[in-house]
Amino acid sequence: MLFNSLEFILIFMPLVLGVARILRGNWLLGWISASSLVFYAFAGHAWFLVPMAVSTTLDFWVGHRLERSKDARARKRWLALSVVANLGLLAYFKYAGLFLRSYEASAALFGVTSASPRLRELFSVVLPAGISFYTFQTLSYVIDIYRRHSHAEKNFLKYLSFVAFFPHLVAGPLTRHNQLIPQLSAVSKKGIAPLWKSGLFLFSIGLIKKVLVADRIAQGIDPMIDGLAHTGALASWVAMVGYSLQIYFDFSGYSDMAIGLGRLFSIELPQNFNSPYRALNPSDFWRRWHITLSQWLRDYLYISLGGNRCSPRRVQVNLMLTMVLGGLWHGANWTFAIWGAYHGLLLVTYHHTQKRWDKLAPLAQQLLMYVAACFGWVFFRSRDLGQAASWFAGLAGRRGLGVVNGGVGLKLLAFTGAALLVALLAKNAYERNVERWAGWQAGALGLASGVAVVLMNFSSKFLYFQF
Amino acid sequence: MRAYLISLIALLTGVFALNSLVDVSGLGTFDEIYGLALGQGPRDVLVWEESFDQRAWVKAMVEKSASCDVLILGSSTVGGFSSEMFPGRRVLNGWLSNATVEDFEAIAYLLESHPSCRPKTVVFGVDHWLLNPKFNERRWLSLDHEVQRYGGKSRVQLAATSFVKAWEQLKERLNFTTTRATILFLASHSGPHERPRLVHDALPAYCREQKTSPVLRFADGHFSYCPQFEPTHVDARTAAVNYVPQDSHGIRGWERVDPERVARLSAVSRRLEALGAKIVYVAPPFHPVTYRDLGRSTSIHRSFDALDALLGKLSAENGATYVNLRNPVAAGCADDEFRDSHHSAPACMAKVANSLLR
Repeated sequence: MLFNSLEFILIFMPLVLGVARILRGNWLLGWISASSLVFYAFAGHAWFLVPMAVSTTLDFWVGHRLERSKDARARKRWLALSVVANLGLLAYFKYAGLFLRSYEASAALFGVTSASPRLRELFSVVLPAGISFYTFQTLSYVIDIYRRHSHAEKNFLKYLSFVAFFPHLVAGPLTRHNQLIPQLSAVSKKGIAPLWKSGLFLFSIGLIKKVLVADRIAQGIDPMIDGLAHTGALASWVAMVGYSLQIYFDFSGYSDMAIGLGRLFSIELPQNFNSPYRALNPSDFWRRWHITLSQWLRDYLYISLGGNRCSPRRVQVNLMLTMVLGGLWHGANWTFAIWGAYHGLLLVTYHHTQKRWDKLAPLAQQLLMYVAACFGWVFFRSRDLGQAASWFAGLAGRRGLGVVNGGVGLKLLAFTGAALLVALLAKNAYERNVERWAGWQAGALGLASGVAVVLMNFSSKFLYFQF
Repeated sequence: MRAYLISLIALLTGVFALNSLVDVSGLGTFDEIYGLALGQGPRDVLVWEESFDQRAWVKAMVEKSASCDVLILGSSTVGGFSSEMFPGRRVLNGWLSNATVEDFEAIAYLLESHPSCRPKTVVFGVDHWLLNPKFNERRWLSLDHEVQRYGGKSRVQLAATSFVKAWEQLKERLNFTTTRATILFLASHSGPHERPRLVHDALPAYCREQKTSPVLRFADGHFSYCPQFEPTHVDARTAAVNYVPQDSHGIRGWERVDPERVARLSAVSRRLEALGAKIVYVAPPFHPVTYRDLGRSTSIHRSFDALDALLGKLSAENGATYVNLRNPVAAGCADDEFRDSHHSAPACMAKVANSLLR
């Protein structure tokens, strides 16, 4: 079950919200938890609940042991247990396939044709949806208790609601316990008072971004990307720009829907995108793109490595390592690691050339940053390094200018161009005061939402669903 | 807020009402078609300007003891097989729009319950979307009772599927594909709408009166077009070029073959073999341009290889035959022998039938 499905919109949400409105206390928290687990089971497979149960229960227990423990070494051991268990679980489900492929590629150099059937069986696993998100959430909870920045939550239902809260469970925004648990405490005491207008409007905006923009662009560029070996420069550039917009509208659309749903439960989830293609430089980009992940990586990885309280050389190393690991978080493919390294390099380069960069006209900075981000998306979207190389060869004109397919191409160009202007120049959903929208604006939103609902069956899964 | 809700609800209600009234997929025609099919004689053609519930037709044909040596099951890609293509054999072409494994299960149950129709050969048209786990079609719900009985389900489970059926119909009436088909239908059909009927021995005269292409189902089950509406090979080529770019049948997102569906196909095959039938799986040909485009995608190529390997294994396990004619060259079909990207014209269907007979 996805947000963009009739089952969710017409059955799940009305039922869950309707019952939630009449409940209080642990009954409400239990209802939120139970319905979130049902949502998760239908989002993938019921067995996905098992690793989530392991991670959730372990970290709740470790949080309490950490809080009670006074011995520094014991506290380190509890932290290590949580970190190893969570990252081990994530590594197994996420990177087992990459390990197997890399092992087989290396073994082939020594004449071993393939891994043993037992090894293949052990490392051929389906990735549970959202595992990257909830393991990071529970890890941050444990680390904050270890650092004595917060206390362990006593109420297991409240903690489970924090981890499993369905609007953010599968693809974020990555929400910290100190952002969500206090709000859950408040709603369990006072009950839910839905912010109908801003919640529904934001959900609708997200749905429109996903169904009417991202998926329509995908329809046009996916065949180009599949046939990259035959495409010229024009199609390669259109595909690259198209993908930069597809991933933005898809992921920010999902986040808008998640935040809108949260508001229906009187919960404010953190903003995840702030017009990233309006960024003026690489640092600015990472303050605007997948904000909650960047902040998590900064607070729990970069700072733990020493942050910028080290020698300049060490700071660069910390930055590169953080970005590479952040890239790998997205998927089990070396292309993601290279994407992360590429952005690390952009950041390092910017820090060295900041004075010169900042002297450029803002529009020039914005366009430079946008093009730089687009080149990164080539790695992100490519199936493997070979496809990335083929794409870059196309961009460089190695296969000539080529054409974009006839009438379909012109429509795609026009649509992508319009979407690009919106991404580069227009206000985002948070900058618009939807509470003050006039009747005609609300009516137009309703019509566009209706069209999106009808087009939903022409939609794909959210791109970040696979992370 | 009021304006938002009014416009949203009005649009969705309007779409639902329009799609229900026109019923372009024929979801509400089961009883009517069933009755007509029961009365369809060997020289009658069931005609209608709209799609109708094909499942009602097939159920009626099996239940009225239509005898057959060759039973053809699958989607419209095998719908062009006619009796003439299998000389000396009685053919029942039970093709269904977007056929699924559930449809095969329902028909297997019908055959088991009606001993007079005992085909000696059952030909399954195996399209790639049949075994693609991402491609879900719910039209089999017209035969949900038979599907549940095939699986030996209880009354409670049967009742639950009634809810599922109603829900799926609601979704069908709110989706883009249906809405687009409705709008296109209304744009091309003016005047009062006819009901489906049987045309006896007067098909040429009927066809001459038609301004838009009607659906024709012959007594042996095959479909065809009135001559003036037969797609030209320019039309076919345009469709062929667009098959992959338009992601027809979810081909671009096709990553794997669903092992559960394969197992169920195998189970259906065994149950039909127990009735004395020989099983043949056929992969119908694609238009040469479409076939070339499919081959260009590494992921699609990989998925087809996996599909062929599984069907080969299935055939070996069940003593069946797998005839892979996806490559039009293998079938001996030229590019002017197609109606579109994946539907062969009669000339090509005859060549495919020849291959099956061999």
